[in-house]
Amino acid sequence: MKICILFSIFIVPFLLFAEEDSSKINKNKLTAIPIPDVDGVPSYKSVKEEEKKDKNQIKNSKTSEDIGLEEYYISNVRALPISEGFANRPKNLENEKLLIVGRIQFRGLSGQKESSFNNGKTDYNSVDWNFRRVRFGFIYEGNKWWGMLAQIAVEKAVIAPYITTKRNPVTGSLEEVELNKAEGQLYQANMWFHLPFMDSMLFLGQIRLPFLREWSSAATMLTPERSYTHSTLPQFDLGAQYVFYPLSLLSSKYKKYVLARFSASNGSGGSGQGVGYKTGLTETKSGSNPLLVSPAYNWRLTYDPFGGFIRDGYDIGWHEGEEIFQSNQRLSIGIGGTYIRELQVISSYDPYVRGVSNQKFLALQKTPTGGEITPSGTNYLVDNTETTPSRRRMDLKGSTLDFTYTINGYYASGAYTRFTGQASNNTESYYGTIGYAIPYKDMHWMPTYRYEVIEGDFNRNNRRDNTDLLRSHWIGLNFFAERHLMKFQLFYRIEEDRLGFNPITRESRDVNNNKFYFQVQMVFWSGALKMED
Amino acid sequence: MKHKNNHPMKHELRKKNIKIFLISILYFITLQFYNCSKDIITDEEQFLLYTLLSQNSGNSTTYSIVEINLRDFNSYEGKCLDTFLGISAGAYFNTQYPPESRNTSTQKVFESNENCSYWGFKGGVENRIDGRTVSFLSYSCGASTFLCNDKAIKEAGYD
Repeated sequence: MKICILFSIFIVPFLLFAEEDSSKINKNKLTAIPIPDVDGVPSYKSVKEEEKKDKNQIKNSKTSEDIGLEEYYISNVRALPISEGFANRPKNLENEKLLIVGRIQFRGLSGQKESSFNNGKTDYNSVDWNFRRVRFGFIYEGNKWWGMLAQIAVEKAVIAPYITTKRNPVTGSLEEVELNKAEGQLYQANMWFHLPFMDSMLFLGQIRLPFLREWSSAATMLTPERSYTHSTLPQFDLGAQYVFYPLSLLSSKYKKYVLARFSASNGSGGSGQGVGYKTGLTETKSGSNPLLVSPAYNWRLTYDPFGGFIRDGYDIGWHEGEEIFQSNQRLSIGIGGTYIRELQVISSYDPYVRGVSNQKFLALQKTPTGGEITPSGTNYLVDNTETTPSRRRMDLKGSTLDFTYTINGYYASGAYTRFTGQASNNTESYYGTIGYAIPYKDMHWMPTYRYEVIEGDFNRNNRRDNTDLLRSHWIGLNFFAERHLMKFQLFYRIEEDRLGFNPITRESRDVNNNKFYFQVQMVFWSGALKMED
Repeated sequence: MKHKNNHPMKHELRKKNIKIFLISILYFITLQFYNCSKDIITDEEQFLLYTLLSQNSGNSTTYSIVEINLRDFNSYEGKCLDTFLGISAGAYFNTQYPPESRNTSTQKVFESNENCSYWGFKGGVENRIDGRTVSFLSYSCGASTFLCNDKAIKEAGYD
C-alpha cells in the first residue's frame, strides 16, 4: 500500500509535467544558453527563442535506422549504467574495447582521546595514515551488446591476517577460531547483455545491489564515508539484475526520465562472506550456520526530470556525484526497496572507539527457520535474536526514498530509509547533505555539511534507549582538482554515540571520538581524456 | 561553443554566498570546540571521588562488577566494569550500587574476583572520573554487539 502511494507520488507528477520538461531533457552544456556578459539581463523572450533554436540542434537519436549505429551506441546504449560511477565509457568502441580502471584513496585520520586512532593521552595526538581503497580492474566492452567488468579490492588483500581464538572461560575448550580481517578481495565482477526489449540490460555476477542511492560508486562521494544506512546490509551480492527504461514502452522521447532496476540474488552477501564455486548458498560453515536459501530481492526506480550527465553532447544517464559540475539544474528522485525472507548476512558499523565492538543495526538469522528442534522438543526459551516456532524467521523489508538536487553550484541530497520485519529492529535512518561548489580556475572548492541519524531498537529490548541512536555531523571541504579524478577531502566528523559509561549516573555517555579525515583520491580510466563537460 | 564554469556573471552570483557558507562552517566548528571541554571535573564527580577515596576498601578482593539486565523474558544485556585504577572496585560497588538495586527482577548485579573477559565480555572503554588518576574499563553485551555469556547470566541469579 505504502509503495503504491510512493509510486503514485513520483509517477503522477511526471505525467503532469512531462510535456513541460521535454525541452529540458537534452539540455546540456554544448547547447546551453550562454549567460551574456551583461549590462542587461537577457529578456525571457530571447532566452526562449534561443532555447528553441538550440533544441533543433540537439542530437536527439531515437532509432538505429535514423542514424548510424555508432551514434546510436553512444547516445542510447552507452547511456545505460554498467555500474554507477563509470561515467567514462568509451566513445570509440573499435579503439577502446578494453578499459583499465584504477583508484587509490589514501587518508590520514586523527581522533579524540577515546577513538581508535589515539593512545588516550590527549586529543588528536597522532595521525593514522591508511589506504581506504586501492582498486584495480578492467572493463571490456564486447560487440556493442555485451561486456564485462571485474574489480579487485587490493586494500583488503594487503592486510596482514592473523588468527584469533576464543576459549571457554570455564572448561578451557576452544570455542571460536577466526581469521581476523579476512575480507573478500573481489569487489565487483559481472557481465552484461543489452536486450532489444525496453532498452534493457541484464547483469549476471557479483552485482551492486539496486537499493540505496549511496551504493553508487565511492569514487564520486562527497564525504569520505557513506552514511549509517550503508552499515545495515551488504552492498554486493551474487545474482542477476535487470535494468530497463519502463517508459520506453510508451514513448521513446520520455524514456530516459525513469530508470528501473530489479535484482534477485543469493542473499548471502558478496565475496566478503566467501563465495565462489566451492562456497555457495548452502555453505553452513561446518554446521554452525543454518541452511538458509531465501533470495534477496532489491529494486530501485529513479526519476531524473532534467536529464543526466552530459558527455560529448549526449545524455549518458545519471551518474551520482557528477551532477555537481553541471551547469544546469539536475534532480534525481529515487525510491528503492529490499525484501529478504531469511536474513543471512548483515553489515555492521565500526564506531572506531577503543574497546567497542562493531554495532549491528539489524538482527540476522542464526538458527533454522521455525526454531531449533532438539530431542526434548523445541526450545522457546531463547534469546529474542533466535527463532522459535512462533518467531519463525528473521525477515526484512526495507524501503528508501532519496533525492539529489543541484543548481548553480548549490547541492543538496538526502535519503530516508526504513526497515520493517522481524530482523529489522525497527531501524530507520536518514541523512541530508548540503554543499556549495565554488569554481576556482578549472577546479572546484566545495564546502559540504552532512547530518546523519540512525535509530532503532538495536539491543532488542522493545524500546528505543539513548544507546539506540547514533548521530553524526560531517563538516568539511572538498577540493576537486580535476573533478572526481583527483580530489582532496578534509572533513571533521562530530559523532554523538552513547557507547561509554558515566561513573556518576551509571548510564551511557557520549564518548570523545570526533575525528579529522583527510583523504586524497585519484582515479583513472585508461583512454579517459579530460572530461569536456 | 565551449562552456566555462567560471563565467563572469555566474561568478558574481556565487561570490555573494561564499562568505555566508564559510562563516557558517567556521561557526559550527568553533561551537564544537567550545563543547569539547569534558576534562573539567564536575561537583558530582568531585563528591563521588571524595566518597570513594575516603572509603576503606579493607581486604576486599573485588576486581570486577557485572550488571545483567533482563530485556525480554529470556534475553539479556549486560555491563561489566573492571581494571579500577585509583579507587577500589569494592568501594565503587558499595557506593554506586546500593543493596536494594543489586537484585531486582530485571536487574541483577554482582561483584567478582575475575576480570570481565572471564565473564565473556570483549573490548573495554576507558572511563575516567578525574581525567588523570581515577579510571576503570566498561564493557557491554547485548543484541547490538554480541550476546551475553550464559555463565555471567547464571552467576547474576537468573535461571
